[in-house]
Amino acid sequence: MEPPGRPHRRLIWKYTAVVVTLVAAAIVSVGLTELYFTYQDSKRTLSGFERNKASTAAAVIEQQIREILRELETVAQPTVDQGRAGLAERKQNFHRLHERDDSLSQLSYLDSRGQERVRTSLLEIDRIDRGIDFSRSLEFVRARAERRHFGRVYFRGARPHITISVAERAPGRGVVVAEIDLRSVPQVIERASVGTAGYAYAVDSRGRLITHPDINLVLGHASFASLPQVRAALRGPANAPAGAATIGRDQDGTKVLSAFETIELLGWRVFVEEPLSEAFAPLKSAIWRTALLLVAFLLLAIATSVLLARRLVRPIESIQAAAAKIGSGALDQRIEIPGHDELGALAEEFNRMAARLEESYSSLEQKVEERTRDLATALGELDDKSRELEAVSRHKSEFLANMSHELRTPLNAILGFSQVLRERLFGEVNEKQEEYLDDILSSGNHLLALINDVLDLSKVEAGQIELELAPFSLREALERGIVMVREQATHDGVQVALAAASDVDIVTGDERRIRQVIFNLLSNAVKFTPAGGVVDVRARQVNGEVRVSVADTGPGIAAEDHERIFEEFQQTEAGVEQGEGTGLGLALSKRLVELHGGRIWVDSEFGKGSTFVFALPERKA
Amino acid sequence: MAGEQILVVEDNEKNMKLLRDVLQARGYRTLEATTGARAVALATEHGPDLVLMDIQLPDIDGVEALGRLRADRRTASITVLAVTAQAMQGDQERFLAAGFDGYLSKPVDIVALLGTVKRHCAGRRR
Repeated sequence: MEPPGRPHRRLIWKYTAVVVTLVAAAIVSVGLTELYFTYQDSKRTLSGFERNKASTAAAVIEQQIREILRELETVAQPTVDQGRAGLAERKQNFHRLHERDDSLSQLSYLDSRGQERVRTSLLEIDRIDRGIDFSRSLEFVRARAERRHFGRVYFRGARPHITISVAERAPGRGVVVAEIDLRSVPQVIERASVGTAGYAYAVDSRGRLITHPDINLVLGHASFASLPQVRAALRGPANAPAGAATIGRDQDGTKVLSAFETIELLGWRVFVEEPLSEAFAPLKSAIWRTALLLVAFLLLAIATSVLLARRLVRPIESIQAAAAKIGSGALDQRIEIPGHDELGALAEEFNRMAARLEESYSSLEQKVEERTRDLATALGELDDKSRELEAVSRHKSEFLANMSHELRTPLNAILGFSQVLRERLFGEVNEKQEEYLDDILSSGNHLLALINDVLDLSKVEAGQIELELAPFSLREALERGIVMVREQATHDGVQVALAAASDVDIVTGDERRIRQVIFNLLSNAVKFTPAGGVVDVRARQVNGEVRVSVADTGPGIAAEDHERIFEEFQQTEAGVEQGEGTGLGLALSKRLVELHGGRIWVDSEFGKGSTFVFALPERKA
Repeated sequence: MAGEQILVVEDNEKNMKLLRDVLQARGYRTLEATTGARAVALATEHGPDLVLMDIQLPDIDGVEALGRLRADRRTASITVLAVTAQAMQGDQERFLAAGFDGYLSKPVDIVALLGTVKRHCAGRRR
């Protein structure tokens, strides 16, 4: 048996595990989902914010450049006078521009042949017809081809500059070249930066830095083309909308949340970036909050489930304890469970069962008692019966002994007197008298034989014959049997032959009874064999039994009589005619052989002699 | 002829006559007793050479009578043969064990009886 206490302990943990698993799964899945969406939301919000900043900065810069372009276009008009006066007019126009916008640090006019005609500057004196040829310069060629041209950004000191050239519409096709101080660009870009660790920068169409909070990078002509977010931005079509938030890296490899906007006019990109650690700092605290909540709820779940399981298990426990007590024999044990739930019902059922068990047990005890009494009575009766039977048996054997005695006593006189006369003790008897005396003697002896056989048979019937089992020589028994019938055989002219196999000698049985059987068969055989006939006695081992056969050359026995002749007072016609047999010899032989656990039968055909066989099982001594 | 004295103990009149006649015909003297007590008394009185003792007798049975003979110094050595109709299996062994010197079952073969009687008397004389 399993020690009590173990099963419910397991049950508690089972309940607890189930509840905790459910609660944990619920909390974790809700928490994770919440976190995921929070992350996505904040990412979207942050990058939208960055992107707005970038767009604003880009728009401001583009606006400034467009303003400058418009101004340049106003001065890129052919003058009325093509001579000196025209040049003076250009010079005056240029000065007006310088005054209006001091970011235009230098302006020059190239005529249609590319010759510099006028040059004004904020820092230097005006030059007219210096005779420098710009006809092969990029700003001249490109401007004439595309009407306007933006040069590469270059730096004077820390200030980024750009050259913008605008071609005249017609007919002279001169070009106005302006050198622009982009000192406002870094300020605009810097204003676009977000958070405390966030920053903004701009690169040109090849990824070279135009402005960056780290001025050293700018002056070192650093290229950001290799940063993933920059590479992606440059690769995409310039007017493509910036994708959703991008996770990029800064020049040190730190992960950043990055958004950009393109300044289409110049092909520049404005990037606004913030390290992820700062961008998602609020998210991190949200994760912590969720984790804390998770742990708190888990603890709560464990406590709840343990309590719940206890409440559930305690009644089961008490049912179990009561069941164990009932199991160990305390049938008056009952369970007390308050409440009307299923467990209460179970307890009720259990109590009812225990009550019924107690009831049936006590009635069982009562029944057992009754039965025991009945049995004792029956045993007593049986004892009386067996005593009675014993007495009957004793009476029967006494009766048999008395009958034997009472029959033998007159027979003694009958046979005795006949014999006395026959032996001529008291004088001569005549022939007829002798014949009669012989008849009396033979009938008397027949009667005696009958008495003996009936007694034997009665004893067998009454189970009063007890075999005296002992090893004896079967061969010798056969030889002695033959000796006993030899005289009769010789007298009748019958030859008796014995052939016992060499392996037949000592058998275990009641020697006297076996000899009785042998003698019976032999005397029958001799009796029924006509003169000149043969009685053949054989003994051999067959399948673990010893078989003795007595074959004669007598009249034989019809097949329908083979069974019958072994019954009491059943004789063949030949036997009846013979008048000698009692009709009990074979019946007795059969009983005696069967008492030994053996069999006896006859093989015979009418007119062809008979072979009587008995078989004794071999007994291991 | 020897003329030995033989005590015949037999309660059946016909059988007594048979034994008496046969024995006397062969020249033996006979004493006759029909009860056990009478047999013991005659044996004590006459000291016969041989006793043919029936077993079933009206008073004490043959075995008891034999016991009394054997208990008395005067009759203790007399040869006593059981001649009885008690011929069930084991009877012969029982009587020999009780102390009889021989056993003849009824019906007795007269020839065999005379032979036995003669043998015992001869043994006694020797």
